Amino acid sequence: MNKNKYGGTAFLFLLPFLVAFILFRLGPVIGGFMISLTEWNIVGAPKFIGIANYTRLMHDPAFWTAMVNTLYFVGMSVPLLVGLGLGLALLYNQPAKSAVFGRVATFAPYVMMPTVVGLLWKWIYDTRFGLLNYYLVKLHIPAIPWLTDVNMAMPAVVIATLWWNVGYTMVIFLAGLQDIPEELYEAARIDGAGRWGCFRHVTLPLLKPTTFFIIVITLINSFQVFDQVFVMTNGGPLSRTITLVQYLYKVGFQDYQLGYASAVAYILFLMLMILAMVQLKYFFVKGEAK
Amino acid sequence: MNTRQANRMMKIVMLALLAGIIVVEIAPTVWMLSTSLKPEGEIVSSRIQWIPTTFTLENYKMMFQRYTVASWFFNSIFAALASTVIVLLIDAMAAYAFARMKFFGRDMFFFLAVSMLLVPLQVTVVPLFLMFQKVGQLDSFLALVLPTCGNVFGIFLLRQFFMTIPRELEEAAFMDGCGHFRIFFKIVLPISKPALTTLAIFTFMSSWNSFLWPLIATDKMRTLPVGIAMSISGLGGTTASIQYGIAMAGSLVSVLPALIVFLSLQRFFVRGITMSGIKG
Amino acid sequence: MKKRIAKVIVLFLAFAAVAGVTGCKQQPKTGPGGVIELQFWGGWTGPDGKAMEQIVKSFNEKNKDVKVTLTTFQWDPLFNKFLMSMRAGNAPDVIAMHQTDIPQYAAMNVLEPMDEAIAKAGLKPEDFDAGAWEGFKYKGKMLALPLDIHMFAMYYNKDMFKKAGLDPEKPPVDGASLIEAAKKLTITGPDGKVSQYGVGVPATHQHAYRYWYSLLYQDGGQFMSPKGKAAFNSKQGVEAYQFLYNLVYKEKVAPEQETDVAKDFQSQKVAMIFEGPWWVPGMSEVKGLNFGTARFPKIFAKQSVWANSHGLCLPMQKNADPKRREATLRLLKFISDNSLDWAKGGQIPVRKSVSESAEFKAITLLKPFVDSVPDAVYLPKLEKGSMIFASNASTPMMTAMQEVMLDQKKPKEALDIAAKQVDAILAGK
Repeated sequence: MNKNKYGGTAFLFLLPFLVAFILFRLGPVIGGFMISLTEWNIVGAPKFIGIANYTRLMHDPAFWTAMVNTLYFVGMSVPLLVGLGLGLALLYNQPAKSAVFGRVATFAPYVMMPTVVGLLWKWIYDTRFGLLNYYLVKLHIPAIPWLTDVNMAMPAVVIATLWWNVGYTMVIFLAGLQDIPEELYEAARIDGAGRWGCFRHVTLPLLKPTTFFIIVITLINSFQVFDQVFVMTNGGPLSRTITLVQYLYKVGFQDYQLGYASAVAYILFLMLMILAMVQLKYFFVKGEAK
Repeated sequence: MNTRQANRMMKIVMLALLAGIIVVEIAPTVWMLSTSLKPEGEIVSSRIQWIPTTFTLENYKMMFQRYTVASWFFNSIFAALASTVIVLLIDAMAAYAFARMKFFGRDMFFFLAVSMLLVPLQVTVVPLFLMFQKVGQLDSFLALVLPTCGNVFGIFLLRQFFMTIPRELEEAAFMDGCGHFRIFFKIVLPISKPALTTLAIFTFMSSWNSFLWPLIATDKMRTLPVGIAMSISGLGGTTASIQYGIAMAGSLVSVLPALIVFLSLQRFFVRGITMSGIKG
Repeated sequence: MKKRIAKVIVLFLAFAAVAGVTGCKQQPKTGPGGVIELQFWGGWTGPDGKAMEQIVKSFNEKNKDVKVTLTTFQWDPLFNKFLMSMRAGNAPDVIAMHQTDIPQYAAMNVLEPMDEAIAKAGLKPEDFDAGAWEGFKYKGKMLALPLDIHMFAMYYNKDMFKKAGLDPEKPPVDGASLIEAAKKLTITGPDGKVSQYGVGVPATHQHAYRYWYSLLYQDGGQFMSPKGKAAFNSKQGVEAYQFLYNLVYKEKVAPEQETDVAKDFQSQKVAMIFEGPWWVPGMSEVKGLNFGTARFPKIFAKQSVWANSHGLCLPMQKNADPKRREATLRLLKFISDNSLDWAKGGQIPVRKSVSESAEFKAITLLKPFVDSVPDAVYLPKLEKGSMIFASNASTPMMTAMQEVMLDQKKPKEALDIAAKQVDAILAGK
C-alpha cells in the first residue's frame, strides 16, 4: 500500500484526538510544568524562580515521608494485586455458574468511586462499631484500632484497595488465560506434565505479556494513590499514610503553593517515567513483532 | 481413595473456597446497603445485624430532602454519557491510525500520548481552570465533558485490540475499492464491539467518578461524587462525626448507576478485555 | 470517501453544538425584573447549614428585590474555589470564614476591609463581644462581621452520673474532681474489659490539641513568645499534654486511640466529653440520651478555653456596584440581627443584644457556653496559620498531638519537634 496516501488519511483519523489531546491533556501538562518553575498562590501573579522548587523538595522532610509511605504502599499493594489477581483468575477460569458469579462479585467493587470505597471501609474499620472488629472480638482476637494505629493504618488502606482493585487485575489475567490455546496444555499433558507442570511451563510463560501489562498499570495507579486514603485516614495517624499525591494536594490546595505542588507532581511523573520506560519499551517491541 | 474421589474432594474444596471468597467480596457492599436501611440508633450499636430490626428509608429521605441529589445525578449522567460517546469515537479513530497506518513520528507520538498516563491529573487542574475561565465556560456542561476527551488509555487499549485483527479482512475490502473510512466504520468498528464496550465502561466510570476537576470547575453544575463527598461524608467539618446511615445511602445511590452499567455489560466487558473478539 | 469525512465532521459539529448550547449559560448579575442576585458561601454542612438556609430564606421573603443563593460545602474546597473564583473575577458577594482563616486570606489581599461597611449597616462594636471583635481585626482593620463564637464545654451523661452515685447537677469543675468522677464512671466488666469509660479524649482528632491549647493557657503558658517564636514547648505545654495523656494511660479513665468522642457519647459508651455548642441540637435528638452541659473544667490556675469564631467577609470585587453593595449590607445586618436563629443551629451569638435576650437564655444547654465567653482564648493570628494548625493535614500541631495521644513520644519531645517546625514555617522555609 502507498505510504503517502496513508499520511493524509492518517492525519484525518488522528485530527479529532489530536485537538482534544493537545488542548486538554498535553497543554495543561506543559502548563503544569511552567507553574512548577514559579512561586504562585493562585490570586497573585506567578513569580519565576527557576528550579528552586525542585531543590527545595530535596530538603523537605515531609516530602520524603510521603515518598517513603508511597513506596511502602506500592511495595505492599502491587505484589498483592498481581498475585491475588492471578490466583482469582485461575480459580474463576472455568465455565461453572459459581465462577461466573465470582467474577462479577470480584469485579463489581472496581466500579465504585474511590471516595465511596474510602467511606465504606472507614465504617467497616470503625474501632467500636465496625464490622471487622465485631468479628475479630467474636474470634477472641482483641479489637484493632485499624485506622488510628501507626502500624496498622497503611495495611488497612492496602486491604481496602485490594478489595476495590483486585477485580481489575483478575479480569485482565482472565483474558490472558483465555488466550492460551488449549492445544498447548494438551501437548504438555502428553509430555507427562501434571497440573503444576502445566502451570509452570505453559501458563506462566504465556502470561508474561499480560503480567507485564498489569504490573505497569498497577504501578502507575498505586503511585498515584490518593482519594481513598484521603477519606479513610487523611494521611494520619502521624503522617504514616500521607502519600505523594496527598502531599501534592496539601501543598497545592491547602497551603496554596501551586508551584511547589506542581514540582511534586513532576518528580512523581519522572519516577513513573523511568519505571515505565523499561516496561513500555518491552511493549513496543512486543507490539511491533505481531 | 481413587482418582475420582480425589477429584470430587478437590471439587468440593474448590467450591468451599469459592463460596468463602465470594462472601468476603460482597460482604462490604451488602453492609453498605444494610447500614443505609437502619435508623441511627441501630447503626451505632455494639451488635451487628445484617438485616435491620427496623427497616427505614429515613436516611434516603433525609438525603433527598437536604441535598439536591437529583440534579447532581443528572449532571453526572449526562456528562458521563457525552464523554463516553466522544471518547469512543475519537479514540477509536486515532487508535486505528496508530495500529494500521504508517506516518511520520508515529511511534514517538504514541509514546508521548501514552506517557501522559503517568502524569498525576491533579497537576492539570489549575491550567485547565485558567483555560476554561478564559473562554468563559466554567461551571458548564462543556467544562464537565471536554477535559475527559484527552483520554489516552483508550488509545492504548484500542490500538492493542486493532492489532489483533487480521489484516486480510481489511485488505480484502481494500481490494473491493473501499476507502479507509468505510473500512473503519463498516468492518473494524463492528468487530471491535467488545473492546469498545470495555472502553465505554472505563470512560463512563472515570467521568462518573471524577472528583477534583468537577469540584474546582463547577458551582451549579455540581456532580454526584462532589455533592456526596462535600456535603454528606462529613469530611473535616466542625461536626466531624459521620452519620453513616446517610453516608451509606448516598454512597449507594452514587455507585448504583455504575454498577448497573457494569452488570448489564459485563459479558461484553470480560470478552472485550480479552482483546480477541475476532476469535469468538 | 468524501462523504464519510463529511459525515464525521457533521457529527462533530452536532456534538459541539449540543454541548455548546447547554454550556452557554452565563451567570446573570441581575435577574429578571431587576432583582439583584447575591452569592453567599459558607462551609456549614451540618445543622448549622440548615439554620443559615432558613435565615437566607426569610431574608429573601422579606426583600423581594434581592435573591440570595447560599452555597455550602466543606471549608477546604470552599476556600480553593474561592481563590479560583477570585481569579476568574466572579467571587461571591459574601463568604464566611473562621477567625483563624482571616490572616492567611487578608495577606493574599482578597478580603475587603469592612469598618466602613459595618458602620453603614448600622452595627456598633459595643454590641459585640470584644474578644471576637478584636479577633477579626487584621493590621488594624476589620475584615469580617463577627457572627458567633464557639468553644468547648463539657457534655455529661446524667443517667450515668446517677448510676455511679454522682450528683447529676454537679458535674466536675476542676482536675481533681474530673479524675475522681471519671474513675467512678469507668466500669470494668467481669472479663476485665472496660464497658464504659469516664471521659473521652480523641487521639487523632483535632480537638485534642485544642484541649491542650486550653490547658496551656490555663497553666499560664503562651503559644508564641513576644518575639514571634514558638514558645509552647514550655513547662506549661508539657504539663498540659501530660494531663491529657494521664487520663488515658495512667488513670485509664479514657479509651486509648479514641477517634470519635461524639459517637461514643451518643451511644453511651463514654460519660463525659468536651465538645462545641454545635452538638447541642444533634445530641438533643438522640433518643434515650439524658445529658447536661457544663463549663470546660479548670484544670490549672486559670479558667481558659480554646475558642474560634465565624465571621462574614466581603471578597474584593473588581467593580463594586453600589446597588449590590447596599443589598449585601442589608443581608449582613439581617443575618446579624437574626443570629438567634443561628444560635438554634448550635452557635453562640456574638451580639450581646441577642445572647442576653430572654429567648436565647431559654436554651439552657447553651448557657455554659455563654458563660465561657470571657474565658475564650483564640489561636494566634498568623498568616501561615493553616500550615501550623490545620486539622486536615500533617501540620506540626496535629502531629505532636498524635505523637502524645498515641503514646509514641513523650510530650516534651513531641512539642520540641513541633516548635522547631513552627519556627521553620514562620521563617518561610
